[in-house]
Amino acid sequence: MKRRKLASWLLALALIGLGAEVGARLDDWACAGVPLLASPNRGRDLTLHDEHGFHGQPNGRFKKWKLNSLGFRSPEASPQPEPGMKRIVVLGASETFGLYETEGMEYPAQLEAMLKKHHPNVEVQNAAMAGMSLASMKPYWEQWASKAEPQYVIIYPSPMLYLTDKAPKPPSSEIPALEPLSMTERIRIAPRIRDGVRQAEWLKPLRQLYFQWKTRTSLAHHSEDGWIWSEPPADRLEQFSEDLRGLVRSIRAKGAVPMLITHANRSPSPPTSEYLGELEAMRAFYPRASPQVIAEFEVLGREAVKRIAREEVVRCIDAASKMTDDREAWFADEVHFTDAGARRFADIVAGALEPVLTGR
Amino acid sequence: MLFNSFVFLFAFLPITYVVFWLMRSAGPRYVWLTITGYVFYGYWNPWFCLLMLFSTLVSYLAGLGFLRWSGPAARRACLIIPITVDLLLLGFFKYANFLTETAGGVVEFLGWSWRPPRLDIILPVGISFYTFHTISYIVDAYRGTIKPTRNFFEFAAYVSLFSQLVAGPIVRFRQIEEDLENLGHADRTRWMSIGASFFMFGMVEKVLVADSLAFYVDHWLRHYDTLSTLGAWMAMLGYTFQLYFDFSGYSTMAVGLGYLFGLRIPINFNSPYKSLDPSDFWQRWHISLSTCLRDYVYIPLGGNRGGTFNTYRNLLLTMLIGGLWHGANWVFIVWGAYHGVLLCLHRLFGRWWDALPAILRQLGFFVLVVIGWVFFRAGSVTHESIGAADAPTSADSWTMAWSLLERMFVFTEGTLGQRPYLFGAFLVLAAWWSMAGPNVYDVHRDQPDRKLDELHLGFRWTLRHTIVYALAFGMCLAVLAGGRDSPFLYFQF
Repeated sequence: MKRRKLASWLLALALIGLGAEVGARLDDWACAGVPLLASPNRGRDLTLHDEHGFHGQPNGRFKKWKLNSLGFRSPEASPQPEPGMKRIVVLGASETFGLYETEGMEYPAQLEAMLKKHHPNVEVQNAAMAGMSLASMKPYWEQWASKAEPQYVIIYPSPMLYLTDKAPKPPSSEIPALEPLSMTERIRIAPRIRDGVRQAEWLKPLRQLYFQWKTRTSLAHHSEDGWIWSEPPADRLEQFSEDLRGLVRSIRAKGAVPMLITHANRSPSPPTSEYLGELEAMRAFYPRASPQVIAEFEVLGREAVKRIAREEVVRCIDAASKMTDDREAWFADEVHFTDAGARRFADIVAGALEPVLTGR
Repeated sequence: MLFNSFVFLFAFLPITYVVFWLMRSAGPRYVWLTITGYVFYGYWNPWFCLLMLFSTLVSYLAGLGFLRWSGPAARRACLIIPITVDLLLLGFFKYANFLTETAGGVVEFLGWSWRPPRLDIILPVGISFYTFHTISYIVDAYRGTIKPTRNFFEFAAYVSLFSQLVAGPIVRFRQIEEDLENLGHADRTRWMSIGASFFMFGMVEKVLVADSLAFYVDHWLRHYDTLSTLGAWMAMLGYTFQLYFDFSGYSTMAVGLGYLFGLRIPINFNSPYKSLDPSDFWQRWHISLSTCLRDYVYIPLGGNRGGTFNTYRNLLLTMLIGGLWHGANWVFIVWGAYHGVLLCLHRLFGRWWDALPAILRQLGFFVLVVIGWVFFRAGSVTHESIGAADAPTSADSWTMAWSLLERMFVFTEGTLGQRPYLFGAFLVLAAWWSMAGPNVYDVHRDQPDRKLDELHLGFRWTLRHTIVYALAFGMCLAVLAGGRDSPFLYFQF
């Protein structure tokens, strides 16, 4: 009897696994149009490294993320703006590309909807790429994004990306060879479970414990003096500033008008106790920076953006100072927006663009 | 916390279940169900637990009052005071802004300029449901239909029972009084299989059907002002089926959860889209609400006694209140009035209507239901669904309702939403299941004459159940892990 019960439980578990895999494939097919037998992969499906450098995969698609023929996350558009059309290109990292927002609710999409109410001849192209630092943005702009010939380019740079172990640098000019997908990469339920665990609010304490352990392990391997920053690293800030300056000049050189936005965060600066845990968890990605250093570096990054805007005489939208009223509702994590946050952010940017578009 | 969330499925439910059955008598089980009910509710916003506790205390004390005093004045006080308190709480949290907005509109109509301030009130989840629970307890105690309990935790467990706490069914104390009394003797194995089967059935309805439809419906209705006539009909048909499978799925899960803890929660849906007329519909749709409205509003108003005019007036008033119960928005009132008018018309012309072939009556009435849902959907308009930057207002709801109705009935060239063929195929499947297929009670009934509250007596778990439900559970987990938002539509009421 016991053996029969055990067999029945094992059968149930195996069927749950099978059902989960089938369900993941059916769900991807029904909601994102992914072929049932395909093995989607975010990196391969959304990005491409070829003779034009590292850029978005034209017509690429992965789950809710869909790119147009220009390799941008926007509705289909002609390679160059139609006569009379004002094209705005937005450059940035995952905060701009969109991560947690519902499809079509990422801030560039909402910005376009808001602007179109009064300016039907304006289009916004979301040319951001997840994880892209300013160091990679300049070659990306020069080799790829500038081909869209925008009149305006909005840059939303993420200072935090300069706190990685090694300083960010442009992608290699060598085109990497594609490696075949592993077995685990072919199982479609696996990334869902991983994402579910990453995003579950109730698992937050466990996740923080894991990140703390990971950080401790990482720190144990680097006992040398100066590896851990006791204050925001000046050389990284300098590099951030210079990369931004270089990008602004490059945009100008191509005949477009650059505009800058200061980076907004969920945690205030200095961080209050309720945000320390989350910032501490970010050490899994930035092990050399304590929560205080991360927060201070973000503040200095914002100041650098404003300073460069002044020096280069470009418009600066100080969104960071206006995203502080309802942090919990606007941010899904330290830097990424919720639908409501993206709406608020787009509203701020649209307000700042109004005088530009009306020529005031 | 949602029934279809991982925290519920893998932490809350297993812990609650195991600890509950480790307890041997009714007393500790009442306490445990109360604690878990408050944890379940507080997971959303702990401060509103105090509100539920207050409402519970007031009604419990009223029950004790009925036991202590037999004089009519004292009994009337025990009836009126707690109901007034409950309704004031509900009125403040749910209707304050609606009333001030309406007053502002009236003042503006009279030519004065006054914009009332919008109060920053958060509507406590489920307040409409547990207020109905407590009010029905007080009224039934006053009428002598039930004997109020002296055991505070028995009553608190009834009000805060997590399975029906935030979105119903509206369970009256008398309906589970017997099971609550026998909670100490409940037999786990007897309830487990049917409970699990109901829960899984509901999960399939909610996660696999309603949420799949929701993905398309939300997308199509986000751009409702660009839809063609066909697009508007398809979107509204999608919403019609989504709403049914969403709420029916939730109710079925609630019934299943009730079974798991030895409590028989009454039926809430009985294939409503198989209805042939309005009165049939309200005996099949949200049955727990419609019977409450009948017993606590329609009959006290006089019901069908007192002549034709009074009957129609009572019907209309009852349905208006039913509409208002759903939400503080004029479109819900219009939706209620619409169904009130349909009920009156059926009373007037029922003889002719009933002479039509059944298939015509079913399809004809179904179309009328779909039209009603336009107002219902417009009342649930959100920022996201209309892409607006500001908070939606009644005006947004009206704009949406009229625009959709115009597109449905005046030929309009426009667009369809994404993947219309696949969406169309989903609609056909959903239409078959809801209009001709079996519901959860049909599936679990082993004999045609088996009573609904005795289904467990004839149910046997077989290998077929293991295979089907394990596969379905896996599929549901995959969809849930996909990260799409899938709140229950009725949570907002």
